[in-house]
Amino acid sequence: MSDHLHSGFGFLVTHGGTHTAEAWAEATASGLVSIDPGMASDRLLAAAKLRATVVGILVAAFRRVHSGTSATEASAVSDECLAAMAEPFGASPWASSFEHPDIRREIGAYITRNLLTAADLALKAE
Amino acid sequence: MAGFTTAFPTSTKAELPQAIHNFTATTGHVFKMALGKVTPTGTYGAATTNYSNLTGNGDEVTGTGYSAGGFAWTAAQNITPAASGTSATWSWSVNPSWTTATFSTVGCIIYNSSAGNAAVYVGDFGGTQSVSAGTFTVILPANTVGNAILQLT
Repeated sequence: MSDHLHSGFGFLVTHGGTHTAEAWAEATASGLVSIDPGMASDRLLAAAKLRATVVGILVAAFRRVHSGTSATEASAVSDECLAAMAEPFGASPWASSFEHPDIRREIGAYITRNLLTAADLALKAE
Repeated sequence: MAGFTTAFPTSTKAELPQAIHNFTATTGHVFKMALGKVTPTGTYGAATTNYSNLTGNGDEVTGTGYSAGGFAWTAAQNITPAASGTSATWSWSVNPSWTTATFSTVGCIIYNSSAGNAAVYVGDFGGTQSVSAGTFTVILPANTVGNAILQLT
């Protein structure tokens, strides 16, 4: 048995206020679609295009979150995001990864966690 | 050298088989994330054993919007450890966040407040993270093998 540690934290910082749906979407998308300047140009272009599409899907999702959003509701919104992402991911170089059930499930859980955090923050703001 | 190094504390490895930590959702323990100040005097990593290591050195963040002890998850927000292949991962269902906050931080300690504040994770933020009169959220990585904040492989 060995432990495997990861410090791949992301940080979402909003000075002077609360996180917007757009900020949440950008932060969440950055954890799903990496844009590495070292990528080959065609993959870099594909990643940038995919991330922009994913951000658009997530902005709509985060705008639906409010202080009373439950875990069940967040999970349902996450499922809708995954359904909406199927086509753009399917047309990207990362189609096979997205189609893997385990990866898809974990992407869904990652989105759900960020949706629930947004709901938690909305509750604190009341 | 003083500072934070991402680590699974050695003490935690000995505590897991003694059933000192219970990460089960809802019925498990309460865990907290405390933030470390910029330019700490102490060294935090595999040898860290307890939240008191941080407070004993006066290295916990102080600032508007941050209360001593840090962010507390509820037990309901624990994600029960689950096997995936030959590994197991666990995490929490919401990200730690601070509102109306003004502070800077360079790392964190996650600890079990239901078990004498024993440390279960030390994290290096890779540099100074600052917030001014705003909202600061630490986005945890996906709860997958190779990515999850806590895992045994």
